[in-house]
Amino acid sequence: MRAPNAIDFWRGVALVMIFINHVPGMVYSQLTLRDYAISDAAELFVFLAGCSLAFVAAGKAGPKPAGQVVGRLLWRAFEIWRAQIVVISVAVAMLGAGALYFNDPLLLEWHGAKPAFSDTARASIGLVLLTYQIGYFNILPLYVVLLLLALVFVVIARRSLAAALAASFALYAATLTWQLQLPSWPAQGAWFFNPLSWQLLVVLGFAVITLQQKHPTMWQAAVRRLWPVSVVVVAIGAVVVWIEYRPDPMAVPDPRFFFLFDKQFLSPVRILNMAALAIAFYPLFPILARAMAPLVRYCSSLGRNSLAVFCVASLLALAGQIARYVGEPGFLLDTGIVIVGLVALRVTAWIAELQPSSS
Amino acid sequence: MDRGIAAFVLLASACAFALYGFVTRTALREPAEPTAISLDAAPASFALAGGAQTLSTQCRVESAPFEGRAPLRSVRRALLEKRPARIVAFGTSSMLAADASSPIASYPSELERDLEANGLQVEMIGRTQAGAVADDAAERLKTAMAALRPDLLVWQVGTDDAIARIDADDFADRLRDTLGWLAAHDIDVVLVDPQYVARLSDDEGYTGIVDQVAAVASEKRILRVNRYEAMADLARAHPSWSRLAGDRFRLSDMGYRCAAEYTADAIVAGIHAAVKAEGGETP
Repeated sequence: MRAPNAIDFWRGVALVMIFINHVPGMVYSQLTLRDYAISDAAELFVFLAGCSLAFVAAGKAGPKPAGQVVGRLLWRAFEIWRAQIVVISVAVAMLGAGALYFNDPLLLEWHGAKPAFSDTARASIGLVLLTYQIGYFNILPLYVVLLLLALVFVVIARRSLAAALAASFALYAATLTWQLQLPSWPAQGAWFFNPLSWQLLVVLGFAVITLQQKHPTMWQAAVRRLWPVSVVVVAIGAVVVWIEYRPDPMAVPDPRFFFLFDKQFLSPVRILNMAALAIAFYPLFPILARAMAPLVRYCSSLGRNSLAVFCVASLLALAGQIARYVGEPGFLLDTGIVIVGLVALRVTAWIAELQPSSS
Repeated sequence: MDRGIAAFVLLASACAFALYGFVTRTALREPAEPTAISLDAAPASFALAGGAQTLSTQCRVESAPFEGRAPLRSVRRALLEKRPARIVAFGTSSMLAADASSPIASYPSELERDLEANGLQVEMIGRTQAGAVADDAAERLKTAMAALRPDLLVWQVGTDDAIARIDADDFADRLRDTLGWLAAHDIDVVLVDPQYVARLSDDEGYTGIVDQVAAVASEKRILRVNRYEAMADLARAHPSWSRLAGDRFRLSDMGYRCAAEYTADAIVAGIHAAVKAEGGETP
């Protein structure tokens, strides 16, 4: 078990926020990033995945062999695909159980679940191909494709980091310009998170840590220089969210996704806001590690076991949604959901760390 | 060894999947397989059916199938321009247009068929918001509208907000804002209120959202399909439909089937209202 570090800590923070945001309507969502920034915990989570990728690719005495890195990423993508199949199956079962127990047909339609019950043959195929996703269970499919795309960029980066960044930017720009998407099936539409644009955030996280490893002094100096600007950008983002400003999609010029605050295509303003947040909060971890050690240990334990914790968080959030739907929603119930969730996530991390190869 | 084999299988699968993903470019402007209905006659020359007489026996209830007399000017304009009216059905997963051979007759497919029976040429597109509530839902809807540029939005509204226990007044404020935005961009709207669920018939949180949909639709002079009341009538007439049988809730299935018929009637009435309001011939 590794000691708490900034990436694990912030990933744990993102997991807690994702858990809370996945129970829509809870009063505690006002404490999460989405209420103070244009980007939210999903961007933070994916950016940190890119940061971690740099450690997967780099060894202590130079880059790891390409085959080893590719094998590791492929295996990780397989693990996440497997997790998605399990988690979405359990989620569908929970909705089915709820519909039976409460005699409530709405539960069979929640979050796009209806094809699982009414068009089972096609939904089963779509589930395995990841083209069938239900609401709030669409981050892991994004991750699978991001890891497969990351393979290409990591291999390119072994020759030239600049070339990897250029390729990533090119794919991002093409995706936003021509609105490239991965299709949903059997339902019409496209993936909630578009991996072809979100890959840029992974590559940026990878590049940031790679540069830190290669040029630590210059990297620190750059962060120091950018810190004041980043704080201003974060503040502007908070004001934009506070006044509830959003560009009118009919009013912006084409290609419009460059100018919107769109989450599916990850519009540039969300990346800019995420980058500013990363720099602005970068100095905070050492301070928190000294002043609030138990909190840092808690969040880091979640971050160290992110896949297991994310899966349990997703299912707990769905249980929380059902509890709020069938129960009396209010501050007490919301508080109960959050407390049970936070304890269960820590227990999950603890169990995961008992295993020989925790995620 | 096992890991090696698994990695090989995964690599092959990944290549196939990546190829599948990249060759299938779903351009939002041109949705996959638009289901335009071709009629024999040019759109300007066919006569619209009259309205409520198109309801099937099972869907005839005491409550009015829809409320309001709002003119659907953009739909009428599309028909006068001799092109199919582009309709987006937006809402929960039952609004998704599965392909025609799917065992479930999805709401958009049923609606398309009912409009065809009324002599209308339409291009039907289904989109879901899958759990989005409040500002997120409004934002996603606006982005979809900007991409698809429909003449008419058939919006099943309120269900996800009711499930998430969003405050009914906050919900109403956001609905007003979004309807104002749609009107400013000349997109006609037909609202479909949430479905009736026996368990929630006394739940103030749920019925509060249903009431607000009705109140805002009335205030904004928007056509509203009266699905909640119609399903309540069906539930009273057929108590067994509210129970799960054969893995299906008959009331829910009939709710969608009948809502498609009611919506088709509402659209036809809205076109007639546009003709009356603007003068000229029926498209």
